[in-house]
Amino acid sequence: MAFAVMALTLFFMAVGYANNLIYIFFFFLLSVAMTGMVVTNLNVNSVDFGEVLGADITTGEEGRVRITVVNSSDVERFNIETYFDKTKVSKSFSLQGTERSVVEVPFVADKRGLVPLPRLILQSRFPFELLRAWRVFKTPGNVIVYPKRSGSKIFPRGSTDESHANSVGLFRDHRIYQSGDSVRRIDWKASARRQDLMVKNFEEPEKPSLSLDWQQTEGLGDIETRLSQLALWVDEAESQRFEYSLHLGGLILSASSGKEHWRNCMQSLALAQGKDLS
Amino acid sequence: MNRQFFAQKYFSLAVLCSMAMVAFEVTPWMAFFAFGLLVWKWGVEKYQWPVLARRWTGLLSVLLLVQVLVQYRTIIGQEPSYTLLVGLSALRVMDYGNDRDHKFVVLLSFILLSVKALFSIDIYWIVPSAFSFWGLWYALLPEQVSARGKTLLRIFALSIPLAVILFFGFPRVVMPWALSRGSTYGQIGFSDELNPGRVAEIAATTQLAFRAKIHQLPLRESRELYWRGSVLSTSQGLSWRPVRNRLNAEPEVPQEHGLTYEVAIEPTSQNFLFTLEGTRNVFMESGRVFSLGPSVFRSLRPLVSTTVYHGEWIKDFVDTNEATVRDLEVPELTGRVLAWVEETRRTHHSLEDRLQALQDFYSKNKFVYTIAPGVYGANGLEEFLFDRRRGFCEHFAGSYATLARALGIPARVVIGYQGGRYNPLGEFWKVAQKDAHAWVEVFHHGHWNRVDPTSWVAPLRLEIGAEEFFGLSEADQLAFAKSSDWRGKKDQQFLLWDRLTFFMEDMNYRWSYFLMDFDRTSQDSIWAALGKYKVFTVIGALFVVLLCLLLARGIFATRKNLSDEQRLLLMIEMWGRQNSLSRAAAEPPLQYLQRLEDAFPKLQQVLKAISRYYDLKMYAVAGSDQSAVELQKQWKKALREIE
Repeated sequence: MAFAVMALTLFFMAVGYANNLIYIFFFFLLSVAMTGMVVTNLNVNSVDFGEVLGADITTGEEGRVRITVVNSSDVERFNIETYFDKTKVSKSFSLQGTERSVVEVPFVADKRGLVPLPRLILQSRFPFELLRAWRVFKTPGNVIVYPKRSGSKIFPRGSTDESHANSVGLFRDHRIYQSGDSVRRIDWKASARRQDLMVKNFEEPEKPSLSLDWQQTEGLGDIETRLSQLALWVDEAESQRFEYSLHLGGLILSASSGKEHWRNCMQSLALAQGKDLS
Repeated sequence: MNRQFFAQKYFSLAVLCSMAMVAFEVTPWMAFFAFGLLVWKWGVEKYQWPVLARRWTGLLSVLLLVQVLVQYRTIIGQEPSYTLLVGLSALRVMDYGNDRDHKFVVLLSFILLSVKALFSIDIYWIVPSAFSFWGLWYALLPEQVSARGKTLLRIFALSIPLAVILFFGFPRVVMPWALSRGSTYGQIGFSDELNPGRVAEIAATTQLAFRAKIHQLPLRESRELYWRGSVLSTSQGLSWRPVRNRLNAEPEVPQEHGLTYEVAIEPTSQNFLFTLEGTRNVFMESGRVFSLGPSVFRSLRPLVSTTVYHGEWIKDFVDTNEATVRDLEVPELTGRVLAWVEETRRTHHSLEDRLQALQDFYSKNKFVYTIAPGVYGANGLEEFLFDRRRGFCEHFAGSYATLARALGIPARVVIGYQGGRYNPLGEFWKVAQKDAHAWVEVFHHGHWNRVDPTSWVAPLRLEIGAEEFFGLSEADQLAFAKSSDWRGKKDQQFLLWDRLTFFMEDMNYRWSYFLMDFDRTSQDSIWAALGKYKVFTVIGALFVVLLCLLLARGIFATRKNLSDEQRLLLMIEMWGRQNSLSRAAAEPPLQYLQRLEDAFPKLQQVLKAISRYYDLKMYAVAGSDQSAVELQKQWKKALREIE
């Protein structure tokens, strides 16, 4: 827009003063802008959307959908950006000739489950950032949106399998008591000294296992709230490096930890249907 | 993104260059103000000097506006608006800090560059302008592009054809309200009056007055060229005025066909058209011309842009208009002037004797020709002739004509330019303000004859031209003024520097001439010529299109040179993508080909052959019994079969 105003000013100067030098200047400026427009178009034209690789998206929170983009030409493409309709634009990236790359695109969903992604737009303003060229991919695919994480961070009573709580591991250090920690692990002497509840930290093998169950959320009312609570516990368990299992109606995900297990649990929660849970 | 102005070398230089070019043309205080701000900005970025907050730059912008309003009493018009533009640009640079500022400064600099073209279309400005233009576009390219300069050059090369087509093809609209460059620009200060010191004042400037091509005329020497501007017939002693409301009748001229010459005059905001003695007619393409007497012409409209006109010159032309009583009128003479006149009248009776007496008076007394003769008072004529005897051409011409009239010889003063500097490369004469001159015409033998008193006092000035004469030291000017053979003959060897100057002047002339001469008529003739040579036009256009396509293909400098096996793989990958079997981000090619084999058993045979070829060429770096082209054919054949 500003460029158009500037170009128009130059044009009126050229015509008004009948100055051929300004005409030359104006026409060359215009030609460079036009060439820039063609280059912008070329830059985007050979960049294709590949596939949706997956995403860790929680309802109501901004997440990143991982997609592949492919440069089908053998020349480098610069400053490509991508975004889902009506959401934020990704960081700009460049693609080498024939390069295939994974890009994270911001996305916000307002309900859990298998959600169809909105239109995906690939765009670029290269070279001069004056004009924008874009390509639209109408149905890029689906993505699993995890339930919203809400509720209490305190793990439910009985979720800790006390049989696992042993002190086989060597004592490492003290840490502040967290919900879910066994009362037996509290070091009362240390707590008295520090004016805070301290528990003994042992080497890994002694970490207790959590058992998260649909039934534990019975008192919370509707399904979504219960799923949200379970999602929060799964998240907390993972971040506190517990081993945890999930019982969801007939579905049992045995105790484990790690990103993959967390993702399986969250996906199960995302796709859970009311009739399967009861 | 945070940006630093001076950290971007090319960008900052381009902006500074465009600002400096306009700053030369506006009020000095504004140029200093802008320069000061830029130094401050440099200190802020380099030495963490205190930052000038945006509210202060805003306030300064308002103050600047007020100052310009106070100084010029308006904001409309070129000088006030461009003065303000320079100041505001410097303030924007002061505020510079993010992407938005970056784009704004770039666009502002583009405007500054075109503003410069209003002040001067000289070719000398093309180099800094082109650099700025390049630098500004360069700054718009993203920094992560590896070969920014090369990419930009290719884009520029691609843009040239369109720019050329637009320039030659875009209809030139002549606006009825065509803007004037304003009275203050390009004004040479040439006026219709001769006051002591006035011509010297003009001659002290270094500006160009006009360029002339006179190669058809038999005039070869600088001393033969007297460019007439105005004829002054009212004497006030040293000062002279033109006679108002006196249009001389056209002299009777033989009806022979004249020789033509061409003059390209710089804008003066005045009507003077300087013509050689003996010019019968003047033609101007873009405007009307009228005559004020023999070889004295005026344009109907003031010349606000560089203008070309043609003169028709007659050999052996003489002005036979009879002298009148008014050509003998002199102011009241007193003192030594009156005494000299009375004495000369008494001792010299014939007209020739009296003319000789006048010549003797100037050549035998020790008159000094100088561009700075000092100021003469009310009794200037006597003081000049008998006391100080220091003068410029105007003093000699003014006093000579007054004395001649007092002796009963009809005389008048002519002002204009004398000589010029010949450019042998471009075959044109460059007449500068330094060549401003005044001489005399006396009526005798039935017509007006040119007399140049300066040629008795300082013949060297006429011999070598004003530019070289005033290039001498004052002592040399005094010592050698009367020695016309002080320098070698014209056929001397030119120095390399002279040749370079001639070359640049010639280029500049051609460039300026092209720019000012290109109008609707030129456009029509170009299109007519293109229409006439259709075959060449079509071939030329095809060639340009081909060139553009080649350039467009390689627009990015980082184009990869793919090997045969890579090309083959790329082809298969593209097919795979169309058939929903893309190669994963880090999937080895052979594994991918295997996956394709599993998915499309009918293609197994050809895919195996391709895998083997890829394996051999890529990893074993060995030859293969099959060629890539062959495999490509097989692949296409296999695809046709499964479809």
